[in-house]
Amino acid sequence: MPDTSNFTYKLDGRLVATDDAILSGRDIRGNAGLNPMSDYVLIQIVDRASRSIGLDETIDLREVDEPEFLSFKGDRTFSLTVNERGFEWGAATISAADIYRCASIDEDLELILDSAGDAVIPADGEVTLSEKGVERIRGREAKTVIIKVNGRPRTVPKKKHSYREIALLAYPDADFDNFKYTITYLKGVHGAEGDLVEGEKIEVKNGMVFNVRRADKS
Amino acid sequence: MSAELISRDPHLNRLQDEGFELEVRELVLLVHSVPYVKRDMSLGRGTLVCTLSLDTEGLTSSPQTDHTMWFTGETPCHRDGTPMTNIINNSKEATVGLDIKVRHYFSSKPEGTGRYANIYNKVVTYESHLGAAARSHDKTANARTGVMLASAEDDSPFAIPDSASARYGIAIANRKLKGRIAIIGLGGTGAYLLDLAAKTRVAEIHIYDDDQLLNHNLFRSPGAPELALAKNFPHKVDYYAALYARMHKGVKPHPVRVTADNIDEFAGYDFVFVCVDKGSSRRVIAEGLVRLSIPFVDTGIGLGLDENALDGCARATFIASGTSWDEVAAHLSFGDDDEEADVYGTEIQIAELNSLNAIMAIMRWKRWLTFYRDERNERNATYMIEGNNITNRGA
Repeated sequence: MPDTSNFTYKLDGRLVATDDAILSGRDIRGNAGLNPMSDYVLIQIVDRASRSIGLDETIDLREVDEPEFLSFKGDRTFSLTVNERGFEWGAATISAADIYRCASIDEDLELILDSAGDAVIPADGEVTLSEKGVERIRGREAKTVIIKVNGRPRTVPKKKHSYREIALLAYPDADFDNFKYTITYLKGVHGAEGDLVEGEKIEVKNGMVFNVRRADKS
Repeated sequence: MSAELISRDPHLNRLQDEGFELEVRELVLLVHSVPYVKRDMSLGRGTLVCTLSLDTEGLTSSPQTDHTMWFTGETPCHRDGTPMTNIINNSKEATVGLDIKVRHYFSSKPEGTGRYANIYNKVVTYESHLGAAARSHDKTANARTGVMLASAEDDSPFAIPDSASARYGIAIANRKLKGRIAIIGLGGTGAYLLDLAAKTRVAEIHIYDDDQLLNHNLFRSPGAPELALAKNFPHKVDYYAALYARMHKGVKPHPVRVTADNIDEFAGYDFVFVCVDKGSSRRVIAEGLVRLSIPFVDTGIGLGLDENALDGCARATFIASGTSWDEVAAHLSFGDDDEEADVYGTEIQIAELNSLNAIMAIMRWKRWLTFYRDERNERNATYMIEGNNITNRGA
């Protein structure tokens, strides 16, 4: 059957269609079959921030571009700031991936937790929100990136790396006088892929993949 | 191959015995001196032409898979000078095989099965279409002249008839693959290179390696082992020469190591494939070939095991004659490993990587010879396993 609904919104990543322009927090929970409704926290992702939606609060879908909601089982909301914008969250932890996504932070930036003395939050890590005080998080230009060399993750300075620097990551005792190391890479800046030879340097980025082997067997 | 196939094949042999003037050029059959009637009702002689398809024993297929023939003469006519539109499919000039110019394309399907039972029936039927009209004017007009043609120049290097060239219409491109080539090192990559080279029309394939064949070598070579030939640990080159003699008549084994003392004999080769492990050998060979101005491809694979998965690369470096030594040395490794410790585990080798490396090398050679079109002209190509990408560096 063709979908004749006029409005859509996203709940927990799934698209929901509705004929109603104006929905209450109760309607959204009801549409998702969340019972009892008061056992669930509903969070709306707004422009690089998030807020909790009470049962009787209303949302006008006509006024929001691509409305998006997340539901959490629980009765508590937690507060944090990301790049100085207020966030409300329905769980005691938030993953770095959710912070990047909800706060629209470029994946090349790294996340910093202010309260922990500027500690870097790993891209696959999370932040605990249940401590006293509001956690303050911000994105900043990364000083290091994680690349993969022969299958192993390596944290390296975010700068141009030379042929020899990359080869030494794979083989710390590399013998440049006697051997050529064939260095190939992919997933570089702007999707670059290719090879690197003596005398050349290359910019690295998070997730870039290198292979270093001696291509001299028959 | 021409005379040999005619004498060996019972149907071609019968045609010849009856007096047909047969010729076979790279699996294209020509039947000469076929009489026909021209538009002005005078008589002419022309040649019937068709490509031969062979069965697995190398004999003409029975029944015939193709019911058509070409003709080199003018428009053949019935006795009254009206064109034989009943058998002429079209009259566009075309080239068959290497250089056979034809002017008409005939299609005459036998009734019933639609296929000729054998090549004898096909030739006799087409001759009767044209010849019967001619014989109505002159009863001595017959394609059975009894003239035995001198065997066409037989330069096929293959040990079996080359039915592929004519079948796929690539006879002219195949002619670009000629001369004498050499493969140094018959490890995995070299064995696969021989496998591919043996299917080309090069006159001679010289293979160099002083190692004996061992069991593990067979896991990195094409096909399945021929145990009778592998008995008593023969030299690799003798084993492969015996094996590939079944395909190519020009495989010449040299059970020696290539060193500064014998590199000068490579002056006589048109192209060399280098598939060695030792850096010091690679240096001696590269220096020699550059000095002798012999173009070559140096191959190499590098595999490693990290985090329980294999990764690495395959490299093919093409050194055209005239390349400076600095440019050669920029890509090739000349150091030797410590015999006692293989610290990097660089000995890992896998058949498909050897095979891929051989294909990269043979493709480079064939693009250089313009068998394949080449718009890249790269000096160095590297395949990266985990990225499934090939990176090229220009000359």
